[in-house]
Formats: sequence, C-alpha cells, structure tokens
Amino acid sequence: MPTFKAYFKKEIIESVRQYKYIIMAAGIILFAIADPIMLKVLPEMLKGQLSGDISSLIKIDFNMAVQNYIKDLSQISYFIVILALMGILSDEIYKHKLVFPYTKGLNPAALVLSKVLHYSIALVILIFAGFAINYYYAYTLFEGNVIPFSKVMSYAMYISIYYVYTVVLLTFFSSLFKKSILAVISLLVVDAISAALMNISKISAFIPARLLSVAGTPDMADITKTIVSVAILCIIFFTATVIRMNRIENL
Amino acid sequence: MIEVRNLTKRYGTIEVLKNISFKIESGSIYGFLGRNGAGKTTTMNILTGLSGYDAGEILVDNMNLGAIRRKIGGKIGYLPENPAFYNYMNPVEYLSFIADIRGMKNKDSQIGKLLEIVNLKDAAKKRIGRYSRGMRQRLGIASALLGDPEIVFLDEPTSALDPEGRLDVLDMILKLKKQGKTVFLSTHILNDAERVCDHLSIIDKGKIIISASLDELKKKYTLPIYDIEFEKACGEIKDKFSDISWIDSIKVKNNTASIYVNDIDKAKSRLIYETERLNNPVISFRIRESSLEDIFIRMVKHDADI
Repeated sequence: MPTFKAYFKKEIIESVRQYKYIIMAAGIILFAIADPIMLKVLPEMLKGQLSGDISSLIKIDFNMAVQNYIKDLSQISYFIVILALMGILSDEIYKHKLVFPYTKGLNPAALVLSKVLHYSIALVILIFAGFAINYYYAYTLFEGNVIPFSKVMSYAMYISIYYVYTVVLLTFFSSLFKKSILAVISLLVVDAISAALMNISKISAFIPARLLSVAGTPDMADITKTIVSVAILCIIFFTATVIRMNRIENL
Repeated sequence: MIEVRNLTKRYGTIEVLKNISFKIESGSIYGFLGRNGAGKTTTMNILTGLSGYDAGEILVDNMNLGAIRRKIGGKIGYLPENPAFYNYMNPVEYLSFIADIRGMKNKDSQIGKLLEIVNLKDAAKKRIGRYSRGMRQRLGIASALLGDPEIVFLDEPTSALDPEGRLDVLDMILKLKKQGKTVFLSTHILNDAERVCDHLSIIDKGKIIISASLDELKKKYTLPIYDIEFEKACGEIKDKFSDISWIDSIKVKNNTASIYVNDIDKAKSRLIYETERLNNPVISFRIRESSLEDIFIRMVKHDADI
C-alpha cells in the first residue's frame, strides 16, 4: 500500500508537470468540440470549392456527428494517448529511476497497479467528459437521428474499457523494451492483428477491438464475451508485467 | 554483518564475478577497489538486492539474501554511481516520495535534517533538473540515508565532486561509522579509500585479488620505493637493472625512475653504487613508502593470486 500511494501521487505530479493531462485532454476533448463544428462548416466550405448543390449529397445528422467522434477516438486520439504514455515503465527502468525506490522496499505489483489505475482513471474521466461535450455540440448543431444521452454514455463506457485495456497492454510492452517507441510499435502490431482477427466471425466476439466497432452501432450487440475476454487479457498482461518487474535486473 | 561466500554471476556466457568471498564486519567501512568493469557495481547491485546471482551465498545478519532479495529495503541505503531522479520534482518532494515508499512516519523532520547534512537546504525548492552533478550526488546520499539504514552502500560517491565536496562526503562517511553504521564503499579513488576504510578488497576481472585490513595491507604489501631523478633521460635503467634480484620493478617517467625494492637492506647498501654505473648524474634521491595506489597498481597489473 505505501508503494501504491507514493506512486499514485507521483504520477499525478508527473502528469501535471509534464503536461500529460493536457496532452491527453487535447487528444480527447478537442475532437469532441472540433468534430461537430467541422462537420457543420464542411458543406459551407465545400460550397465555395464545388459547383452545384452539394447539400443533398452531404446530410449530416446528430448520429453521424457522434460516429465521427468515435472514429477519431479510435484513431487520432488513440495515437496521441499512446504516444503520451509510451514511456510509462521504460523511462523508469532504463533511466535507472527505480534504484532508490527498489532499495527502499518498493512493491512491484503496487507500482504497476498505481500506474495502470492512475492513467485508466484519467482516461475514463476524459472520455466520458469528451462524449458529454460532443453530445452537447452535436445536439446544438445538428437535427435528426438524435440518440438518447444514456446510449452515448454506453458508447463512452465501451471506448473507456478499450482504452483501459490499451493502458495495460502498453504498460506490459513498456516493461519489455528499452526504447519506448518499440512499445508503441508493438501495440500497433497487436492492434493490426486484432483488426485482422475481427474478420473471423467465430472469434471476433473475443477480440478487444470489437468494443470500438460495437460502440456507435444503432443496436448495440451483446458484448459480454468481449468484456470477459478483455478482463482476462488485462489480468494476464498485468500479471506478466508484475512478474517482469519482479525479475528485472540492472535497474 | 554481511558475509559473501563463493559468489558467482554470469551474463550469458561471460562470468563477471568469479567465486568471490568476503566478510564485512558491522560498524566498519569496507572499501571495494577496482578498475572500471572489474565487477564493483555488479557486486553492489547483488548485495542491494537489485540483481540476482548464479551461485554462492550472501548472508546479511545471518539471513540469506536469496530469500529476502528485494525485501531488504528497510535495512539498506544505496547510492548508485549515477543517481537518477524525477527531474520535475524538488528534493523535498523526491525524498518525501521515497519516504512514502518506506512507509516512514515523521518523514518531514528527517528530510529537513538530511538536506541540512548534505548541504542542500538552500536549494530545497529548486527542481532537481536544475541541479549540478555534485548536487545530484549529494541528494543521492540523502536518499540513501533516508530511513536510517543499518548498511549503506556507496558506489563511487565522490567521483562527481569537487575537492571540497569530496572532503564533505568523506567526513560524512566517517560520521556514519561513528553512528554504528556499516558502510560498503566502492571507489577507484584510492586516496579516499585510504582515508576512511578499515578493510579493503581489490577486485579485478571479477576476482578478489587481495582482501585485508588497511594496516595489514600496508604491512604485508608495502615495498619501499626509491625515486631517483637523473639529469638526463633514464630509459635504459630497466635493462641495466633487470638482473638485480632485490629490485622488484621499475617505473620510468621522463628523467625519474621509481624503483620498487624487495630487500631494503640490500637496497640501502647497493643502490647508490648501482646508480653510479649508469653514468647519468643524479639530481635527487628519495625513499618513500608505497601508497595504496602503488599496491593497487602492482596487484592489478600483475593480477597476482595472493
């Protein structure tokens, strides 16, 4: 418990002073605001570029505005977040910052837990806030096909679960590699493989990436299998990270 | 007390520690000398529980380190050669973070005291990222001493310091001894070791080649040295004196020859005579006792098994 508290506090200080919260907020909240506005002004902008009436071609409603935000959360925002967090453990290990903590009795499991929990909480708050803000702007700017707020919050929950899984996986990769960019590359490789596996109907229900594809669909499918699978994967990767941190040498 | 028996450590096929054994008495300052890459830091990392080992036994107060590795935190303090911190923190925040990991109560008073001891009180609000190397080293010492550990491991604690800072750290090490703490000091600055250590070991290529108290070491391995300054270059002296049995070795630098002798009586009576044969006028002739540095160089150079 002392290690958990100490590192949780340290992560908060670090995220404030190294602008990690601002970077993550920019990646998540900015698109929540910018997406509906951009979609609103897009036809106006294109009007000047193209001849003829394009308003009949581009019909954007509330649902499309939210969909567009979900797409950004799984692409640009996702990339910003993983770049901000890529050195979550590798920076500590390979810059020898763990020598003093380890010799003063650091508990590796508590260290990993505090990091995963801290960034997961921060991301979940930002994602829910992002969806709430996006809902407000989409509702204000677009008419038709309005989805209830509760449903949008379910989307937020699915995306949040996926981000938490990403934090756990990134933490694991970050414990393996000296260069933090290798953790990002490994994560992207896993994402690419997951996307490919999604095409196999028999196993697609167990792939974490399904959370992204299900979020935003009109009638959300049953995701119990996916959530159970994500929970199991999180436990596996968390345990593997703790084992790695227990065995690691040359801190 | 720390007792190391037949410790072996391998990285792949390379054996970096070869069956080393030594004993550190409680309340003493134990010097661990060796060149870069000799195995000093590896030994330190093993003793502090940061690294594992392949064979041997380490007993810390009769407890096997293998069983308590990484649970030894309460007992030890470790200053690595290049201490790393969170640069965005100030020293109070950093020491408070370390104290929290130790689960220390009354941490504020101890942090204040430590910052005063290491002379960082005035820079307590400055971010560590703006610290000089010497200041970082001193903060490292404060971090190692936090929690009042019984055994303090110091890896090259004076290497980054100016002469004044060096003296401060050496004084601090002597104070730790007075407080009854055991200090394990790894260094390649032999003067420092000579000044503070009670017992010394010299490690080379992963083997301990000598281990003795400072007094024993000097008694046993000290050879008288004659420093003779000639008027002209004296490179030929090595060849000309090569068949003299009572001369152990000769070091030549410009016009000066340092002659290590193994029989002082013969040297006293014969050296001046032998020098005359060189036909190179002598400017000065001085006898001195070999220092720890001389012993170290001789031992490491010869890689002698003693």
